Amino acid sequence: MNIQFKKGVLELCVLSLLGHGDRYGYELASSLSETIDISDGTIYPILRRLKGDGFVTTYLRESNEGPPRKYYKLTDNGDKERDSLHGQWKTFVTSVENLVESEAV
Amino acid sequence: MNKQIFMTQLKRHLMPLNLSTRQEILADFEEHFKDGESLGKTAEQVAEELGDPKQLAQQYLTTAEKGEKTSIPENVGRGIFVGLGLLLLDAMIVIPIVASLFAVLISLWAIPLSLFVSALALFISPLLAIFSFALPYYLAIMTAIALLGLTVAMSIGLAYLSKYFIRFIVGFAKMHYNIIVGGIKG
Repeated sequence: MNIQFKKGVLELCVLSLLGHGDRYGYELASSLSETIDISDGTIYPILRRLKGDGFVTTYLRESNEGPPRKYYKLTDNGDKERDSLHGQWKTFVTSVENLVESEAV
Repeated sequence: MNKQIFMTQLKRHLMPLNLSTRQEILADFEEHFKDGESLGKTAEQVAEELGDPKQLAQQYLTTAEKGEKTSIPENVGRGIFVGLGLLLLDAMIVIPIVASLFAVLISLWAIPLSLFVSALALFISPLLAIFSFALPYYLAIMTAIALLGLTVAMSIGLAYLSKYFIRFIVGFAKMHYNIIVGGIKG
């Protein structure tokens, strides 16, 4: 898959996961790699970029086992970005569907 | 791949980024290892699932902002500092040694050269009328041939020696370059 495309889709996935509540890195990585065939590490550069773009923020929260964990939280901008990406994604999927269907006829 | 290797490789490939950015990124992965291990995975498993550290580093590098890259002035300063240190070391130790080795090499080359000149002189001795009194011409020719043989043998030996010497100098120059540039990049 085109790397740029994959990145955009992964951003949408991360933002959507964070829409359900704050998560820490390992959680996000394992939920993503369960569904999509990517290596766990891929998520960290994406998270860093999302943070740089102001779509997520981070904070530390105590954990039961060991040192505090870094949690990721969706910002208002991130919320908007997710909706926008989701819209683009739906348009894309619909276009592809239309094309495939029309060729079948 | 074990954790140590993973982290070291990641760190190495993140070198174009500045220290604090690098530390933040590495901390994220440290945390990931801890979380994975607390779930009962081995560090090797976690590293395996994380993927190729070089590729990960590249993803960071392609999206890095200007402020996250290593600032050049600070590093050029370090490069100059390292360069000056090397210069001092060179002036005190390396240059005298290399210079004397070079002098020895040149004087060694003088031997085959003088042998060659003598051989030449013997060949044309009838013209010069120097040795013709002392030496029959056929003997002069034989001696000249022997001298030529010696010249060739010595030249071959010295050619090798010179080659190694030049290689040493080039290697030494490269080392200097790497140290200074390494100081700037690192």
